[in-house]
Amino acid sequence: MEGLKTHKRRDFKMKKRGNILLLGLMFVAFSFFASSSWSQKTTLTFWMHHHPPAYDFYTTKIIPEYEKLNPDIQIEYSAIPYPVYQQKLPIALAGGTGPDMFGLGDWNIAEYVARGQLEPVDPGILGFENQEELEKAWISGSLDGLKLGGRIYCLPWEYNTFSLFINNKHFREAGLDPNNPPKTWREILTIGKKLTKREAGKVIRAGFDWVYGQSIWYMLHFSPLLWQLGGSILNPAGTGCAMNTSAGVSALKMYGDLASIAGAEFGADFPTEDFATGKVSMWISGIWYIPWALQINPDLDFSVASLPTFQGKSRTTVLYAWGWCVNSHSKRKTEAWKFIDFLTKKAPEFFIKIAYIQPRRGWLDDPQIKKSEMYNYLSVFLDDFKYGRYLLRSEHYSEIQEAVTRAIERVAITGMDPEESIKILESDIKLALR
Amino acid sequence: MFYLSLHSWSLLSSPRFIGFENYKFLPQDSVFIKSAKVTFCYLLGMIIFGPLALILGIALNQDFRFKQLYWGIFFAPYVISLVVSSLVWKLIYNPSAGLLTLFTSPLGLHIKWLKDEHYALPAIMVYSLWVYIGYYSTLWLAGLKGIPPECYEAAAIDGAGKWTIFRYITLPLLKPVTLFIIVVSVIGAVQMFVPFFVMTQGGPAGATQTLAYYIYKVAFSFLRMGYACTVSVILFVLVFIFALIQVKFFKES
Repeated sequence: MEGLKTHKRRDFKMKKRGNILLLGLMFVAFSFFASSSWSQKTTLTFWMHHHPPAYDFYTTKIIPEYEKLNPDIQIEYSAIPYPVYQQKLPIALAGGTGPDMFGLGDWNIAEYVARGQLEPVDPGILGFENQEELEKAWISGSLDGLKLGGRIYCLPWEYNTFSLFINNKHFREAGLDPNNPPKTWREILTIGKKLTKREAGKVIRAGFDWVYGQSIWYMLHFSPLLWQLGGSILNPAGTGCAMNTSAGVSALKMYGDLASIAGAEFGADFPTEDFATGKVSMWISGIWYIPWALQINPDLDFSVASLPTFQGKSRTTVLYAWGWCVNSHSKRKTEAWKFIDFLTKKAPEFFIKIAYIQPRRGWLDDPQIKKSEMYNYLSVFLDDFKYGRYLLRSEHYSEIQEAVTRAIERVAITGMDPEESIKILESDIKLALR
Repeated sequence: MFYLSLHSWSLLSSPRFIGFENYKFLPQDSVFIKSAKVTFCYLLGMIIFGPLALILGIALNQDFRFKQLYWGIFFAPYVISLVVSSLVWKLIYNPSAGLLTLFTSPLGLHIKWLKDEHYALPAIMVYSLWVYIGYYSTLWLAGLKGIPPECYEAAAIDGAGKWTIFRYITLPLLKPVTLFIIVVSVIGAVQMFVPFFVMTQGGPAGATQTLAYYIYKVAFSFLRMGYACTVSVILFVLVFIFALIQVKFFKES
């Protein structure tokens, strides 16, 4: 009897263990089948530089919407701080671990094309017969920055120019009329000094300030000054430095004079907060800054004006575009271009939510755009677009940009004579172009 | 590394042999020359701070209340992540609202610290001192503990004063530790990267761009791996020569 009980107990224990094992195996099998590697989902990796309003828009609206429409696609989105993005992206692409699609500034196109890292746009996937038909769908000239050797490599999610932002309240306090903004750099200098406030020798409000510490901002701010005076960084052949001219010296001097208003005071790496919080009275930025500023300070009383110029000189502004690009080594190029096609048809939402201008033809006719708050500021930027010019193109763009950054900082921050700084720049550019 | 320094290589294709071309560019490279000067200044600063760690080590070698607590306080910065502590110090150095302004503003001083080419490097040196003083003082302390007490007793019997004991007994017997600390601090100083990356990104105007930061930039921003290896080789050779000189100096004396 005891032996029978023991046998039954043993039998029960074995059955219990067997059931637990079976359940465990079923669980593992279920997890395995449920995972995307076994399912039909395709994961598309997507990298961009970090821009807080855009991050929210992508993660809460655009990507979920696309994934709902395309249940077989999963978008893995990464927003990386720009200074890190500049290094992380090319290294990842070079090492074979880059994303399927990514954001790129037009100034980097030549470098990435030279390295074979960009896939040219496939008009067929986007529903166009050929590139010519594709270009007709965009505002004339808006794809030029993302084109090289006649081929388009990216489609723009941002098409920008820089204009002048002024704090209306500061102007009124100083007895100035915000409806009569400064039109020349000399006026910016005079008004900037007037609007600057100091306390015990410390600047507590800058009448005007540049952005320091990020090379691309130096290029975007400095280049129009140089162009307005008829100068350029490289010679027409792109084989040497062309800054050692009166235009180069004068542009650098004016940049330095404007920097001396506050003396690179606030130490912020990105002064988006400074203008929004009233620490800076005037600065130069794009329309995309407006939602960001209003997010920081909804009560900000500001207006926008045309980019200043030099008295009697040609009106030239800067044009730049951020584009969606596809990794030439990606195994999901078609899926990437299809997602980009979806994104390019969201122009009204991009503009209303985050003031990104997508220059698709007819975008301005959308009634939603005309009703949006951003529309009130658009006319100034649209006017500045007409005089816009893209930054220089070179396979060695990054090195040239670094050299120009050092040249500008030597003048603006350390107070070096512009001519002396340009002499060093010539040697640095010669090395960069080797 | 030396092999790659003889090549032009962007990671995207096979390295292309160019001989010593990369080395020929070095004298023309104003950024390399400036970075070398910055590295040398930083190195000098770290060596000069060395005696401070010794003083702390001597202090910690005494018996007093809460000695372990003080030791822990000084050693703690060494175990904190360099990125985290660099970010904190970047805020401390903020000229508008940083902690340091509490002390400088009442004195009428307004220093832009990390944005001023004269102060940026010393500011990072002070940070580095804060990080490493506990570590180096611990090494000194270990050296001090290794000195036989009989030496001090004998000196005391002979009527030697404290300074004489320190000069003729303590310091000579600390030579092995001194050599180790100098070599380790030199290697650590030339390799230092994080605070320069986090706090200043090599600026303003290259005032804090060390060779380590420059190598990083050349390799990963400009994708000139061959040239980055060239600068690395030069850095290695300089550190190696320095270490050899130190060893020879301490051996002879």
